Amino acid sequence: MAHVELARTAVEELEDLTRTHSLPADTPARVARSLRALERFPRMGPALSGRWEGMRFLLGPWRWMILVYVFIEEEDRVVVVTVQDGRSGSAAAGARRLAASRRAIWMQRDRGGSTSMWRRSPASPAWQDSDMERVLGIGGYFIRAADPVALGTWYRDCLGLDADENGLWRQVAGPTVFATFESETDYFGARAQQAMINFRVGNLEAMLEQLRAKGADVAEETQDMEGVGRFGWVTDPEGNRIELWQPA
Amino acid sequence: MERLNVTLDDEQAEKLARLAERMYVQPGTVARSLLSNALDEADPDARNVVELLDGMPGAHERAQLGLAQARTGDTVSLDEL
Repeated sequence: MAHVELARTAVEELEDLTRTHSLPADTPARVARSLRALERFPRMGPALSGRWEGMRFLLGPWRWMILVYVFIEEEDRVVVVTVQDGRSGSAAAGARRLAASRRAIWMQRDRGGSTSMWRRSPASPAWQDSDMERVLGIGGYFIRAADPVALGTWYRDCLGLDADENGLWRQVAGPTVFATFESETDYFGARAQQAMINFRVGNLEAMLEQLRAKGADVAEETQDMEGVGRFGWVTDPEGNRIELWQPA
Repeated sequence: MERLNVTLDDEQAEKLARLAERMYVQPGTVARSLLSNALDEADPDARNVVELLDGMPGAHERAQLGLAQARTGDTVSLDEL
């Protein structure tokens, strides 16, 4: 029997749909019933194609509800990764919200000091239409170093992180994953390392080759995850393990 | 046409019997109709859904986030939903 789960984001989407569409209180139970068959038949949902390759879907208790999932065969897990309203009106609304949120913010750095200021476009709606004040994105990442200049140079020369003299780095747009781990995890390498940064890359093999050519401490292993992408790891000269991700 | 033997558990069999009684038809007739509908619903055209999903900006990014959460174990079990 496969273990059926929902990604946190899918649960939030389901909660949002329940609230915004005034769905009945037993909606989670109905969705659970729709998904229950995947325990025995994880390949029951038709396979998606194109950029959705590797994912499958089921229709929920309402036919407009699309439950997109992956079957991680080696772990015998089924995980619903997103819950979407297939009706065009909501799709258009989703597009408007996304476009607005992307325009919404930009960063200005005070040249004279270390403070940074976030601003929101006056035309932009609040993220997820909620009154709650929310953080908007990652505005900086700061690392202790025995030799800060040398470490900054390593990131520039080995990874191509072309920050300016103020440390301002214009990133290529893409997803950011924020996840907490158990304190005992080995995923970050040394236990002393409290956090790990993950950089998106366009070509993992080329990046790893570049790092090796520059004498960096590159992990031998890489990892593929269907529908997610490829992962590799490198440790910087001060012992910080870094994850590299080539999204699918 | 193919003939299938299907075994229902007690609860489902009772429900089927109630439906058949209400509709004044044989349980097999109701079962066949319900099964036909369920099969149609269970196998929707994936190409249409891909088109639909592709037309929803943000859906793919949400799916990518969900995939990453699947990888890190940031999930909720179906039993806890």
